[in-house]
Amino acid sequence: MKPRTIYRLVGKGIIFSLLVLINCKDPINLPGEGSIGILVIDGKVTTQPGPYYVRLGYTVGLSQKPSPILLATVFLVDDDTGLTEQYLESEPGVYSVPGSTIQGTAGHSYHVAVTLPNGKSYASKSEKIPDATGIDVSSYDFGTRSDFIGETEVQKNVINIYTDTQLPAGENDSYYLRWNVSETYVFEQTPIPNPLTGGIPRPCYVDGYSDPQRITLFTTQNQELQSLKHTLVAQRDLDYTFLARHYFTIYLSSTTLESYKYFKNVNELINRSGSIFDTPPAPIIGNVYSVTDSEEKVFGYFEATNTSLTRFFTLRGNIPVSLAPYCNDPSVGIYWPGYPKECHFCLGLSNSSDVPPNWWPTD
Amino acid sequence: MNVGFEFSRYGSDPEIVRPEGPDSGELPQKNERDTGREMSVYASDEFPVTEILSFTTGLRYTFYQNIGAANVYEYSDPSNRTAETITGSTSYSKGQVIKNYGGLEPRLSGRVSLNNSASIKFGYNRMRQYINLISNTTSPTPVDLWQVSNSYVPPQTGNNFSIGYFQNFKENKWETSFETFYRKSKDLVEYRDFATLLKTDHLETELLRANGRSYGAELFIRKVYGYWTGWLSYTYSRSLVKVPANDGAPTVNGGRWYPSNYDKPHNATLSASRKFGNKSAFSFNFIYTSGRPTSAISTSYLSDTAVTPVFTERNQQRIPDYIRLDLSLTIGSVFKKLDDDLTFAIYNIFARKNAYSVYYQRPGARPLPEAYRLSMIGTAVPSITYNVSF
Repeated sequence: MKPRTIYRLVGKGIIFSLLVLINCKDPINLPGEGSIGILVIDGKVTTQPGPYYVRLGYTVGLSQKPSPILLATVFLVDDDTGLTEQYLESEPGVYSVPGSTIQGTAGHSYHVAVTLPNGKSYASKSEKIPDATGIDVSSYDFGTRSDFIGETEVQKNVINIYTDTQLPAGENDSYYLRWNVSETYVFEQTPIPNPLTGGIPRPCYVDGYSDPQRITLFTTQNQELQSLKHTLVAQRDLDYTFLARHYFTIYLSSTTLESYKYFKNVNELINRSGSIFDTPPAPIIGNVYSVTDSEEKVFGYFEATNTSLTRFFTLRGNIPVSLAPYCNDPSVGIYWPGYPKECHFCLGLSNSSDVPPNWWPTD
Repeated sequence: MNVGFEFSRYGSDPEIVRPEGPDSGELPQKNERDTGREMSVYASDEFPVTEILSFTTGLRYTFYQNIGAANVYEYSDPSNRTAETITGSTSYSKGQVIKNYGGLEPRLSGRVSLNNSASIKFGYNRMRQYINLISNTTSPTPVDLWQVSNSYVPPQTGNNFSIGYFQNFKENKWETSFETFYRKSKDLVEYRDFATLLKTDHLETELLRANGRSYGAELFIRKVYGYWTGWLSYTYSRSLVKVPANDGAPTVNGGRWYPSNYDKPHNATLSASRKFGNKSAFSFNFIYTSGRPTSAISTSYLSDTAVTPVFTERNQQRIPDYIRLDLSLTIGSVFKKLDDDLTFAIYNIFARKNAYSVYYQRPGARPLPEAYRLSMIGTAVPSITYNVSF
């Protein structure tokens, strides 16, 4: 071996050893203090037909759902017409309004007014629905993504959902857009015949969000584009939910500048990359406030959006990877006791119903 | 009397963004950084008033110019600058003066000798600083940007006061001192919440003017000679900043005082050495420092579909304290005919993973970012050193 080669190897060894010593990264418990017991108001009104929802809760702890607030009085107010419509508590901490009196209308401004059982009053700042939104054409393909099991990195099969978007062509100088993707899939229960009727259990229709932590934003400010191509709006793991028909609904919301900034900040807090480009974090200021105590801190945002939607579905035959049976495995039969409990009672799944949504095809 | 003249020029390379290949999501970008020059004259003199009292005084005048080439944006509300409120811009050619600043910097220090082994020292000075360090300490490797004073960033000024008591014992075998200081500053540079410090050509929209105050006390004990030598120091100090809440302008932490990035209240060092024979010694060095302030996630809630982390207000938490103990043993005269010694040392004997930085990163598809510690030398490092003198 030439001396030069030896020097290089020794040099690389020293550099590698130094890197091992220097680049020591490990998880650390750094609990933040405070911000417990703070009111959260979150909701929206859109140009789509109701119902519209508002969630009320108090912050509890990290990664815990806010503690729901019951028996609150909540009104949706159209600031242009003066019309109001009262929300009703549909589940603990979740209030819904059918939208029969008020449906979001472009150009109108809205806010919510909330009174808690303790008499304290809160409201959101008025939000005006933009005059236009974009139009999406959706598409999808399949791929993989990285995930972690403990600290071990693994690859998971996913469906990628994209949109081609015709940008809004209204009277405003700038539009602020955000995409959400929700899903509804059919959950087939284990087909054990009912001993009395002989009937097979009905399937459930389960709702959820496909990629809830992904916040896709775009602004036409200082842009001369007419359209966007191939925007990734969701990435969803392939699992048993794709064994039957699985619908995706893509919502394109045209929002206010304030809402855009709020969700941009939310996005920056969630998707911290640990790089020099991370912005300094801070508590996010929303548009909800206490009417009775100007010093009280309140979290959340109530937005008014001009929203369009597109929808598509996949069938098991579209999925390019093998999916293991979930509730009906021919190798063990329908009476196998090891099936998950939802295989015998799918209404126990959260956000499930045995009645299909009204847009579900009747074929 | 000492008199003098100084000239300094401040500048930095432009920020350049180069896309990595045609598939990069980045656009090419070149953001020029501000340039400035500072001229100053000064004079200082010492005045022994009596045998026990003496003063040193000085006066310095500084004059600063922010110069081109630069493109300076104008805002509809200069006190609340955002990208949305840019109304226009003015271009300045290379060397063209954009903004002038200047002012006097007086200084005075005194010494009162109480006896041969005790004295009191005190001092005051005012300083102007035309270059500011903007440090984003929330990333793994803290991002330090240097921003010179310009149309929107005035020079920071500080008034410093200090007084200390110094006493030696046992024929100067022991030296002790107790000093206190107070510093009041204005026009410090802070960044707004969610500031974009990189890849921007209007950094002034991200910056806020702040007031500062620092104070503290240091106890110092040193043994100068004998078998055991070494020193012990303990400092308690605070460094606080406040971004005053003006009408409509953004502030930080509601306009209240909060710890600056440099606020480390406790700082203790014990360093000692025990001689053996002519050239051998055992030494240790112990360091304890409070962790610097940072922000941490305290809770979360849902924003539409997304679980939203709630970070504490700026600098309300601290990264773990810095603790380190180093040991060394030096054996002199290893070979009798040589003037040599052999040292065995262990750096960071506790193998403590002291945090160089603490930052947040979202692993995989987990909903929330998690805290990580980056430690520079997070293990015990043994070493052997052989010295020979010719």
